[in-house]
Amino acid sequence: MTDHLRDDQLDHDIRRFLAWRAEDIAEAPTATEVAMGIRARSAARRVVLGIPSQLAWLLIAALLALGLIGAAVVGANLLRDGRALVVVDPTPTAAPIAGSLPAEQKAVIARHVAALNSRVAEAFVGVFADDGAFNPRGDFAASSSQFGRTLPIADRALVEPFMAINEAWGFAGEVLTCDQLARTEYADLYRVYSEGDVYGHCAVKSQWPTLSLEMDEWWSFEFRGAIILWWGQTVRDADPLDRTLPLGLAGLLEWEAWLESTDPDAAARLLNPRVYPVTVPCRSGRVFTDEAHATTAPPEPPCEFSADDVDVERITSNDYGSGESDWVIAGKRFHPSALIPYDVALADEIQASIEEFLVR
Amino acid sequence: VTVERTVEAQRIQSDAAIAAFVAEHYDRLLRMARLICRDTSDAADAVQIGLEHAWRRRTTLRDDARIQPWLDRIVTREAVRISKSRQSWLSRLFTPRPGVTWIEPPDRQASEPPTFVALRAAFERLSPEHRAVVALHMHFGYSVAETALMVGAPEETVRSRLRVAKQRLRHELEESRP
Repeated sequence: MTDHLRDDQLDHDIRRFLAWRAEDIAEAPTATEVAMGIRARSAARRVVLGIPSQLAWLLIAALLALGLIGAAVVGANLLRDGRALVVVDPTPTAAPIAGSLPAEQKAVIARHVAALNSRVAEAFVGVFADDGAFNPRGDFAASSSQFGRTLPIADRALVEPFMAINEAWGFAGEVLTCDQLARTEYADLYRVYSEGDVYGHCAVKSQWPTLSLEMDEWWSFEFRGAIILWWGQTVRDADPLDRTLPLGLAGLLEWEAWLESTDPDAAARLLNPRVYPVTVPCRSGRVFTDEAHATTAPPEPPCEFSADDVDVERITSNDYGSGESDWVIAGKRFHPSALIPYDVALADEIQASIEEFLVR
Repeated sequence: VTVERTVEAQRIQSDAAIAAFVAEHYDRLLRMARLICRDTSDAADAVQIGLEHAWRRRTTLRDDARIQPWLDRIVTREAVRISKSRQSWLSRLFTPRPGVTWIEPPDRQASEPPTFVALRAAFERLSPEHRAVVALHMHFGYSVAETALMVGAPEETVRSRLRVAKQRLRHELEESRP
């Protein structure tokens, strides 16, 4: 039998419990031990940053130079001998992918994610069909694609800059589940499809540690047998409750607002305002490759946002928005989508600013 | 030799300052983190990371009088972050199964008043964010507005978390009564 606790009695019990629990610290290190730890790390930083460090840096630079010269000599010998450098296919290490997608395609996705997470461009390209393409979260000016947010895998020279963008933000994807969709289900969901024969719809946890950012995404895959024709991403949850990094998309926008209010000069330099076309359908920006389907598809509803309304809903509701300015990565001009519009050349400064924002 | 002595004197001075800084704040912060984290080890990690971070950034603090809430905020957020990452690892390692009950060692059970046993079980089932607002508001006496600043959430969210947390603690407590 239960009887109802009075509010003041409940508060009294909770406070007594909290006071008791707060004393459960007998096994913790002492203040002296903690101070010693901080001191040791501070001393290490002093050594690294102080006078001895100049010698250390010189030594490191010399070793690096020697290493580069050695690598160049070995590489030149290999090329002269006509031998190709062996690219190691990264081994997928993540947990098995759940869901109804056949194991053959799941294995391809696991290799795709491993290549992406380890930035091995050769392995990444290797899982795509020759005529495959993907959304690089923006547009490269040099892309041969007729469509926005589409990078043909044939544009091999642009895959390395794409990997460098991922490296700058520390991107890591973890595929949780992948379901197989019927062609019509896939077309309804993504408003587009290639002439593939297997359609995958995957729930993915995506992290950009440099930005302290984590979101849940849907990744769409179109397969021809066991090779990928298309890979794209849409936001599934911009602020997942179970995220392990501090910020969701709303938090990232809060950081932008904070930076604009506390340091307008830095904001002008680090941020890249988001812009949207005036009239766009609210769903995917890709086109139907199946003309019969395109002619029978209902017209898309227009987006109902004001011109200057930039928020989580708008950023995630369509993939038309982009950064106002483009920037250059590895010599290639890139026009980023609205999700993460910042210039990767500023990644260190952006990271420092976000860390300051998080502890403010 | 003079330069070496000066450097050594500065090092000793700096070491003493770190020791004094930690000694002044450690106990309070450890208790705060202990209320948010599931175990003492995580709490100690949160405080150590928080204090180290604060030590490196102490010169950016404009008002010395605000150091305590500033430290509380850093450690609270670090404790929530660590708890969530542990939670994520645990949830990945051990898929949650409803109905599974953790069995505490007999000596620990015997040393706790029955009310605390019930409250502890319910408190540990709360999310780190819920534990943080309960600890800050009900134990450390921060107002709802101050708690909201500490955890980086709107005031309404803090009120909602408090309400939910108390409902769950009340339910557990009432169920445990004979």
